[in-house]
Amino acid sequence: MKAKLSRFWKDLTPGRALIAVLFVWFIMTCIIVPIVHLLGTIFLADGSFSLEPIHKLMKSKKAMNSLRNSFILGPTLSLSVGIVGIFLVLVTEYFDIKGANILRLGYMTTLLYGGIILVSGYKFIYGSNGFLTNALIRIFPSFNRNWFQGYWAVLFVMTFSCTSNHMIFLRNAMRAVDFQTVEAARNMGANQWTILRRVVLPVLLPSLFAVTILTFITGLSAMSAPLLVGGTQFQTINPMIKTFADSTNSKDLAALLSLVLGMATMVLLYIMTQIEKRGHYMSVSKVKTRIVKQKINNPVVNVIVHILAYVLFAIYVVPVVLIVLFSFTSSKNIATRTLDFGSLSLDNYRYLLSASSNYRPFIVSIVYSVLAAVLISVIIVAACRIIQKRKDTLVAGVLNYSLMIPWLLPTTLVALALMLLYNQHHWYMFNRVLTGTMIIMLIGYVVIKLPFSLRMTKAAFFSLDNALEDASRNLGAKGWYTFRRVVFPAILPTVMAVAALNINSLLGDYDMSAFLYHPINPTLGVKVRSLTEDLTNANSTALTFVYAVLMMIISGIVLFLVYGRGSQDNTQSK
Amino acid sequence: MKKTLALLLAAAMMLALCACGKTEAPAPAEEAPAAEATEAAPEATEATETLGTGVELTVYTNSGSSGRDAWLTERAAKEGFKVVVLEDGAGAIQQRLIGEAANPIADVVYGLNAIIWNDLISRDILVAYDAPSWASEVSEGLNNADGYYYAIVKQAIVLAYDAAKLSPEEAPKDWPDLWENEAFHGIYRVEEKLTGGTTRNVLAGILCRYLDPNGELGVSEEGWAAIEKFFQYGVVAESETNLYQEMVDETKPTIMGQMWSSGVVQYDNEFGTTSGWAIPEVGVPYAVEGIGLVNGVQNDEAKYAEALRFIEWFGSAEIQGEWAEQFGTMPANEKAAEKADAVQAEICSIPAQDIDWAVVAANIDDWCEKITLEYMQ
Amino acid sequence: MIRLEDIEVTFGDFTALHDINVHVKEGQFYTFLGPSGCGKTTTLRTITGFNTPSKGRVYVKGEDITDYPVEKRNIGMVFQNYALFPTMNVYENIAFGMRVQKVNKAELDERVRTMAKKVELNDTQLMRKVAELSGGQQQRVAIARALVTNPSIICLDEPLSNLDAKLRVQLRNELKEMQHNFGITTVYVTHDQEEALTLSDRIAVFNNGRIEQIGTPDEIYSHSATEFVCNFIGDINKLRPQLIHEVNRQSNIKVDPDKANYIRLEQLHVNYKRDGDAVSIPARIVSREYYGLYIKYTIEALGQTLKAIEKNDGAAYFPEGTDVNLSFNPAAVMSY
Repeated sequence: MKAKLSRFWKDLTPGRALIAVLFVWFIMTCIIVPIVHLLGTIFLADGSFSLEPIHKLMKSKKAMNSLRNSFILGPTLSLSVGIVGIFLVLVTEYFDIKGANILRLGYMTTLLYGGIILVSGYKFIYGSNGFLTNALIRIFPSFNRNWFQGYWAVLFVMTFSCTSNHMIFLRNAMRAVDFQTVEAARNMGANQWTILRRVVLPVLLPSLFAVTILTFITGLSAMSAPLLVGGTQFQTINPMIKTFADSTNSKDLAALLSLVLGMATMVLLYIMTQIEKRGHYMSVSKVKTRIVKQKINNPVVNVIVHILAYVLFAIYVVPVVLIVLFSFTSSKNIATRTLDFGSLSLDNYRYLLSASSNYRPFIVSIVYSVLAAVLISVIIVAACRIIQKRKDTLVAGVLNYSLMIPWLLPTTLVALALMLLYNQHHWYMFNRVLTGTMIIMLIGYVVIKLPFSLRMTKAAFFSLDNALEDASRNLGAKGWYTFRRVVFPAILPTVMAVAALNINSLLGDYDMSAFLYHPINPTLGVKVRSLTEDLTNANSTALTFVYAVLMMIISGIVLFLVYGRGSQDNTQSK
Repeated sequence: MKKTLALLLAAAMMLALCACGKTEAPAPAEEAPAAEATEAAPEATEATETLGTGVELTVYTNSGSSGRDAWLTERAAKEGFKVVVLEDGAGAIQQRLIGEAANPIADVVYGLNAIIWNDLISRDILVAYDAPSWASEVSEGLNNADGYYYAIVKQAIVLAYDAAKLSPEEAPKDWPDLWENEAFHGIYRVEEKLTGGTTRNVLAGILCRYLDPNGELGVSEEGWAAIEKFFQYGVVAESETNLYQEMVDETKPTIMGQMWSSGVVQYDNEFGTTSGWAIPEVGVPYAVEGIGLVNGVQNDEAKYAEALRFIEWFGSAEIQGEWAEQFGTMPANEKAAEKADAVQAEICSIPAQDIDWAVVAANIDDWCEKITLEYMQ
Repeated sequence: MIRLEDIEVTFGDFTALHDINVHVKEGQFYTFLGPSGCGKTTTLRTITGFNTPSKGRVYVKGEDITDYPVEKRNIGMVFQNYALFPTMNVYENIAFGMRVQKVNKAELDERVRTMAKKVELNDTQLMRKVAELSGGQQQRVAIARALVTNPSIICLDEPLSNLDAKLRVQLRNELKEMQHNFGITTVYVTHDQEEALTLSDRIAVFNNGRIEQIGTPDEIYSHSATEFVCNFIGDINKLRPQLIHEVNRQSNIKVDPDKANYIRLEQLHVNYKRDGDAVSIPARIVSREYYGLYIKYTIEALGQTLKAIEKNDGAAYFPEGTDVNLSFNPAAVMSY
C-alpha cells in the first residue's frame, strides 16, 4: 500500500497533475454538475422526491406502448440493419459485383444526410401521396394509400438509414481480412458459403458486435422515423420524451423516460465492453494479402445478388436524387409531386444567396461543428490514451463512464441542464455567466457527442499493437514523441472519421441550438425550422430542400476531405 | 512521461476554449451589423447616429419568421433603434426566458400568447411598466391588467373548414359539435403535439367550459370525457404538415381543424382554398400577442429608457398598421385595425371567449401532460 | 556487460520471475531458452526496461540502470512481430531512433543508407511501406532499425518465430553472421532449442520463472543440469528400471535405478563392437526413418521402445525385424 502510494506520487508529474485537474474540471462542470443540478430541479421541484411521475407513466397506455415499441424496434432493427449492412459490405468489398464502385457511392449516401431529411425523402417516395404509392395505385386502384405507415415502415426507413456505421467500420474490418486465410480455406475444400460463414465473418465479428450495439441504441432512441412514418400505431419513446422535455412542467416525465432509455443503453454498452475485453481476432500473419474479390460461382445466386445489390442501390439513391431535383422546383411542385423538367430553375438558390441572413447560418453551423469536432477529438484522444494506459484501474473506469453520461439524457435536457446551471455565477466556471455567450452552445455540442466519439475512438486505441509503442520507446522516444509519431498516426483515420461524423450530425442540430444559440448567430437547424413555419414565403418547402441539398454538399466535402485522402493512403499501402 | 502530452493537450484545450470565447465572439459580432446593414437602407445607418441613443436592445419573439425580424430591425433602425432579434417557436422562447431568468439576455419580448405571458408573470420573469400611450387604443380586455404586457396583435383561434366541402349550414358551429355530431367524426384534424400555442388555446377554450375546483386538475369529469372524445374521433395530424396541406390533399379525409386568423387568410391565398369558420356562441379564444419587458432591464437605466421608447414606438397605431399591411396580422390597436386584411378583420369580429388565463396558465402544462399520456392515440 | 542480480518480477499476485541471475559478457551471443510462459521474454523486457523488477538490480557496464526509463537505456530491440511502424515507410522506420536523437539530416541519411546496405535493403525498398515487404525483409528492417543508433546491446525476442522453416534457417545464419560482423552483445529469446544451440555462446534455460541451467550449448546438451533441461533440449530416451538392471549387471559403471535415467539418441549404437565400459543388450529393429544424413531407428529392447541414430556412412542399413545388439556407454546416462 505504501509502495503504491509512493509510486503514485512519483508518477504525478506536473503535466499529469494538470491534465488530471483539467479532466476533473471538465467532467464536473460540463457534465456531472449540470445534469445533477437539472435532475435535482426536476425531481425535487416541491422540495421532496415523489413517485408521482412513475405512477403517471404506468397509468398511461400510450407511454407504455411507446416504451414497448422502442424495445421491439431496438433488437429487430439490429437484426435487419445487420443483414443489410453485411450484405452491403460483402457486395462492395468481398464479392465481385459489376459496378461495385458506383454501388458503394450509392450506399454511402446515408453518410450525407440523416434524420428528418432522410425520412422526408423516403416519405416522398413511399408516403400516402408518394411517387411509388401513386404508381402502385395506378396499377392496383384498390391499393391502400397508407401502406407505408407503422412498424414496418419505421423498420424499413431505419434499416436503410442506419447502415452508415456498417459502411464505415465494418468495411474497414473487411479490408483487414487476410486473404490467405480465404485461400487456405478454399484449399481445404471449403465452398464459398462455408468460407464466408466460417472464415470471413468471424473476423468481422468484433466490429459487427460494436456496430450492432450502436444500432440497437439507435433503435431504442429512434426519433424522426416513428414521428414521420410511425403513424398512430407505432410511436416510440423518444418523440414522447421530446414532447415532455419541450413542455415546461412535464420535464420530470421526460427525464424519467430518458433515464429508462439511458439505463438500457448503459447495460448494452457494458455488454459491449465485456465482449471487447475478450479480445479481438487479430490477424496473426506477418504478410497479409489484400482480399481478391470473389466471383460468385453459382450463376443463379450471382444474378440474384446482383439484382438485390441494384435494388438496394435504388432504395438508397432515389431519395437523394429526388431531393436534389425538387430543390430546383417550387413548393407547389413538391406538394403535388410533379416534376416538370422545363420548370427547373435556380430561383431557390438565388433567393438563398440574396440575403446574408439566409446563408449566414451555414457559416455559423460550420464554424461551430468544426470547432466542436476538433475539441471533442482532443478530449477523446486524451481520454482514450489515459484509459488505454491505465487499463483496469479505477481512473480508467470512472473516466470511461463519466464521458458516457450524456447518453443518459436527451439532447434537449442536456441543453437545459447547461442553461439552468450557467445562467448564474459559479466559482468553478470562473464566475462567468455562460448563457447568452457564444461558448455555451459549443460546450453543449461537445458534451452530446462525447459518448459516441469515445466508443468509436476507444476501439481504435485498443486494436493498436502494444509492441509499436514499446519499439518506439526502445528507440529512445519519450512518451509524447511516441504518441505523436507512432500512436497518433495509427489512430488518425478513426479520429478523422469520427470527427467527420460529428461535424455532419452537428451541422443540422436543432435540439441543442434552440436553447443555446446566440441571438446574432442562429444556426442552420434554427433557420430551417423557421423556414418550415414561414407562411408568407410560398416557396418555404422548396427552400428547405435547398438547405438539405447544401447540407449534403457540405457533408460530402467533409467526408471527401477525410475519406477521399484516407482511401488513397490505403490503396498505396496495399 | 506524459508530461509534454498533458501540457500540449491542455494548451490545445485552452486555446480552443479561448478561441471560441474571444476570437470567435467578436468576429460574428463585427459581421452581424454589416450583414444587417446590407438589408437596411443606407440612410438608416446615418439615422442611427442622429436619432438613436446607441443602446442595443435584444428582442425575443416567436413572431419573427417570414422576414418579420429583418423588417423590424430595418424599420427600427430608421427610428434610431439598434435591435437584435432572436426568433424561435413560442415554446422555445418561453424555455429560454425561464432558463436565462437569473441573468436575462433579452430586454424586450413580443408575440407569444396569453398562456405563456401569464406563465412568465408567475415566474417573475417580466417586469410591469407604465402603460404606453397606445395602450388605451387596444381592444378591451387584451392588455394585462397589472401592466406586465400590452397587446399589439390579436389572433382569433377558430375552427376552420374547407368551404368547398361544407356549407355554413352543414359546418360545425362550435368545438363540441365535432365529437357530438357523428358526421364530423374522422374528418377533423387533431394535433399530434400539444406544445403549440394555437393547440393550447383550443384546449383552453374547450376545458375552461368545464372548470371544477373539485375535479382532477381543476376540470370536471365531464370535461375530461369531452376531451377524450375530441381526440378519439379526430384524425391525428401528420408530422410536418399543416391543416391546409391535408385539406387540399384528396387522399386525406381531413377537411377541418384549428387555425389562427391570419393563417386562414394566408393559407387560403397559398393553397387556393376558401375557408369557412365556426362562430361559437361563447366566442373564440384570442391568442394575444403582447409586448413586455424582461425583469432585470429596469436595473440598467439607459436600456430601460430605450426599451420603453421601443415599446412606445412598436405598439403605436402607425407601426402596427404597417406591420399589419406587411404581414397580414390583426392589430390589437383599434386605430390600426383598418389596415388589416378584410377577411382577417371579419374573423376577428367574433367576440372573445371568456377565459381565465391565469387559471389556464397555471394548469395548461398538467392538462397537456394528462392528455398526452391518457387520451392521445 | 549485462548483469542481472536476484531479479524478481511480479504481475499483481503472480510472480513471473524468481531470483534471476544472469551475466552477459561483452560481445557474447546469449540466449534465453525455454517453453512459452517460462519467463524468458519477461527477463528480456526487464533488461530493456519494459518491466520493473520488484526485487533485484539490473547493471549494464557496471552501471545500475534498474530505474532508468526505457527510452534512456539505448538497448536495441527486435520484436517478435517486428513492430514496424505501419504509418511510416522503411526509411522512416530506420531513421526513427536518430530523429529522436535529433541527428542532423546529412548524417542521418548516410547512416540509414549504410545500415540499409549492411542488411541488404536497396533504395527502392527503403521508400516502400512496411506492409509491402516480405517477412524476411521486415526482419531486416527491424534489425536495421535496432542497430542504426549504435546500441551497445541488442535484444531479440523470438525474431524468427513467425517465419517458415527454410527462411528461418537462412535468416538464422544471416543473424549469426551479422552479430559476428557487428560484434555487438546480443540477448536472444527463443523456444527453439536448435536455434539456441546453433547461435549461442551461452544459453540460459528457463522454466517456470526460474533459470534451470546456464552454460555453453554443449554443457546444456551433453550435461543437462536438470531433468527438465535434458528433456527440453533435443530428443532423448528415458531408460526403464529393467534396462538399468541389465546395465548394472554388465558394467562397473553403476547407474542408480531409483533415479530418472536418460540417454541421448546418438549415444545408442546398433551392432557395434563392444568396447571398454559399453554394455550390450539384445534388441530388435521395429522401424526406421531415413533422413539422408542419418537414419533413425526405433528399437525394442527388454520390453522398452528406444530410439537410436546412426550416421549414414554408406553401410547397409538394418531392415525391420532384424535382431541386433544395442550398445552404449553407461557414462553417457544422465541421472536425476
